[in-house]
Amino acid sequence: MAKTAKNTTSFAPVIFIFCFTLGYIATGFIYLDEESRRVPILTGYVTIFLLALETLKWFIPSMSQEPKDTSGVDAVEVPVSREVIGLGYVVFLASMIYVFGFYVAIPIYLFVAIAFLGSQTKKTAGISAVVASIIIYVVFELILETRLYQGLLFS
Amino acid sequence: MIDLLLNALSDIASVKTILLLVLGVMFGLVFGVIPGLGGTTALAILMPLTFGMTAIDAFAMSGGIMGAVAMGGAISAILLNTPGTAPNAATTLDGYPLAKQGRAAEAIGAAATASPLGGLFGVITLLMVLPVAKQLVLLFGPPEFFLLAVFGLVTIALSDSTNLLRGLVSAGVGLMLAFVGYDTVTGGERFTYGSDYLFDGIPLVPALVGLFGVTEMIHLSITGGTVAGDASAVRIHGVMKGIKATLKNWRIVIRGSLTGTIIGSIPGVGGTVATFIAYSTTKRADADPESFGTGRIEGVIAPESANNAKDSGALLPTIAFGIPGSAEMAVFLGILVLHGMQPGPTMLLNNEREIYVLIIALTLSAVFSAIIGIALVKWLAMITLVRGQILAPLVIAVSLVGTYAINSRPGDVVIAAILGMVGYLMLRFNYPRLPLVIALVLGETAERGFLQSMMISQGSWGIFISSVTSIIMVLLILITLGWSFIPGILKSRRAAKAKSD
Amino acid sequence: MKKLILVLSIIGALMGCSGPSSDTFPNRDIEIIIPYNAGGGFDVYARSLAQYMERYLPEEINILPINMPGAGGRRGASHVYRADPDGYTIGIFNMPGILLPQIQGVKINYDVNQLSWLSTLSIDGYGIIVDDESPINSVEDIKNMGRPVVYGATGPSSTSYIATTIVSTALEIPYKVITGYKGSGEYILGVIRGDVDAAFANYSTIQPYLESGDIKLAAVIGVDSDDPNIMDANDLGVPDLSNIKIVRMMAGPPGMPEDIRSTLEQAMLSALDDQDFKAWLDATGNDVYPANAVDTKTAVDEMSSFYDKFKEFLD
Repeated sequence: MAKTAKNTTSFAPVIFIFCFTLGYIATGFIYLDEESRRVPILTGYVTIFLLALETLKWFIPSMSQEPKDTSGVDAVEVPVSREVIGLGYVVFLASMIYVFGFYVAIPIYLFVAIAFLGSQTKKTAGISAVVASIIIYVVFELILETRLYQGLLFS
Repeated sequence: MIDLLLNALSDIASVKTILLLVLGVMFGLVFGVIPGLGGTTALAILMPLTFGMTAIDAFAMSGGIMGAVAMGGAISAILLNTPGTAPNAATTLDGYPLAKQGRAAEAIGAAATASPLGGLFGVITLLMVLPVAKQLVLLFGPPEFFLLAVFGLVTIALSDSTNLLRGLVSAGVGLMLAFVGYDTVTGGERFTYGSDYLFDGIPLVPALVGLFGVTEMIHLSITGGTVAGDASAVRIHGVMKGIKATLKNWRIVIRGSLTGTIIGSIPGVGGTVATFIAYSTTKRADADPESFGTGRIEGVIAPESANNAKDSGALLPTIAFGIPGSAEMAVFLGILVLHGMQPGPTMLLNNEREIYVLIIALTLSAVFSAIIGIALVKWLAMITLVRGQILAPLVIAVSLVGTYAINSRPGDVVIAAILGMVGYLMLRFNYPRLPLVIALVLGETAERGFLQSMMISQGSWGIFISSVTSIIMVLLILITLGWSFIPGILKSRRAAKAKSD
Repeated sequence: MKKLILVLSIIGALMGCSGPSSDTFPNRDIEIIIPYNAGGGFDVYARSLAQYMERYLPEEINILPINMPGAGGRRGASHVYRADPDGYTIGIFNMPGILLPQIQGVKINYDVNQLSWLSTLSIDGYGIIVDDESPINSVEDIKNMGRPVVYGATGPSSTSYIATTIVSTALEIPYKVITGYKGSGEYILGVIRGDVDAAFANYSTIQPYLESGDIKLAAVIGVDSDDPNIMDANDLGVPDLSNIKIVRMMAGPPGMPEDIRSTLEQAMLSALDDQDFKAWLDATGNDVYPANAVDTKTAVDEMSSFYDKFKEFLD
């Protein structure tokens, strides 16, 4: 079995989803007219109700068995810091694409992600980054003739 | 009808046409494998190439593309948890766990066998109902669309019996996201904050690529290792096992194929929903539903049978009324027009020959792409042995590029990235992603169906049981609800009784 | 390391920026923006036209169709509006599709009147359709229904909806519109199913449905009727309504130099005169109404004032 990060039991998701739903409902009341917001707001209310039930489960002993942990036997503990960094790399890539465009973002991201997050040698990272970027360029720009995004800076 | 088919076969049987068909298959496979790109993009990009061709050649190539995309998408779904096309998302559910156990070859073998078989049954079904095509399409109006969407939502939101409540919460969030954008029923811009990008709503393919592909790749990059945990466990020769599994489970193939054809024929609901419902119903009918998601081969067979059958289904409204049954069909209609035909109810009368060529091409394409998939399985399975630290960033990068290539919108990249992160959090906190996805797909259809029905009936709820079709749908929904909740209630009753004894 | 990044950035920048245009236009590929999805009738028409236009431009020059769907056509319109007026970016538009948001005061990033209008390609009108077995046969029948007629349409800012409301209000027909249909095909189905009584649909689109006998016409708008049984805007007593049409036009960014504009215009008009293109248009039921840049601009102005005049009829 491949390694899987162990699942976490925490109250955080409920709070997060609750805030999102609240914001959603508020937006509905502020910006939308009566007719447009009817169904979305109703959905928001139902979601909050479901969240309330989910919260109740925590406090009622008979119901509070945690849903089946799907992470499996080979689950490993992953430090939160590493998870945050892993997510951070995606933010990094997306922002680079948005600002600098694919031609800059892809090689840089690949090199940095493989070398630092992935802890591979700089040589492996460098080669992978260059080769992959060239292949992407050839396939998308030349063969498919899709103009790859050049970022806010260059377009 | 047989003579029409034979004629079509002889139409295709020229060297040039077969070559174009195979070319289409190659394109279809590649476009299918690259996340984000799919049949729609492939057809759109290759449309200009069909200019100089005869209609028969153009249709042969189109059929080649459409039939192969599903197989290509299945490959990335299984190996990388990244659906190559939206309908392949259901294949990731058990396909990727199989790859993690080193059984990628088996999964690909099963998918490769299910695709042409499912496609074949789909074509047979299509040909059988073709005479009543128009009446069938006319059975579905706003009330039926609404009920169908509810059925899809209920089936899938409740499919994870261990996580019912969280599944419903996911579905709720998915619905809320589905309502973002301009609403054609009420005419309002909703939750867009004035953004031109959000005007068109949260796009489905970037969302899927993010939630399934990017999420798992983030996971892989964090945990390290390889997709298949243990290099020695990768059995590259599992292909035969996979093929046999599909043949043994022919009932699942037929059920999946029927689901694909029926649901694929409903415009706007389409392929993604069809494969998810095929998966869910197979899971539900199984003796051990809770093992689905850990690597059950049936969980690959069902959606992939549906995936190819859906093209036959999508042809139904396309041929009957010229209304595209799917986005691919919409582009295909364009190719049709390009070759001097007019979409509409007269197509079956005037362009019968070309349509049968397409049908044959679709079937042959599924077979060819399956053969290619099986031939390449050894190399494909080796992908699961590549170091995750290299593979994950590569797949994420290619996914984002592919997502951008669909419509040239940088916003799509952002959506894929954001949902990739959200998906990771859902994964870690044990919130099922499936209901969110299905709600995203069906939310608009459900709301539109409901609001329009209310407008047509002037506020009367009776419209939802006013036709045979709608009554059947209501019954289906009730049965599904019952099936989900009653066993649970009975179980707890029995447990309580056992306690008191 | 830093040098590598610098070099990569420079390469990226160079690949990204387009070179300065040289003296003779055109000397590289021209992009034609299609503000709708691939595969729609509009898209196919544009691609076909592009193909034929290439014949009338220098050999190596290609015309690349680029789909830019979004915001009902506004995204494509904005893109063309903001592009350099060097002739390498042009767009093909559905009027009054992109004109209406401007009239209705929606926030947009373009000005229809500032665009460099190049030519008109085709004009299409509307048919008021009803189910083949409907008791309605004319507008009179609709008025005499004894209740508001129920129409089907796509969205409240779509051209079909606008046509429905303006015409019905001008003819004093009590009506209700069921919006939300995803496309004209869907609401034509709605008419056949009986969910709605009637609908306004593109005259060219409904031909196959008329041919197969699924629907029939109650009236036509924006098209001249030869059939004495089917009334058009003139017969109905409000000739102004014959301005309600769907016109496909080509335009470039504001401020296009006259010589570049002329080259493009000529290529377009030659394509529209091409025998093979005409044969294709005939086979697919498209009508051609070529018009040059000057006439096109006049038409745009007329359209603007017409819809402005009827603005109150829109909700």
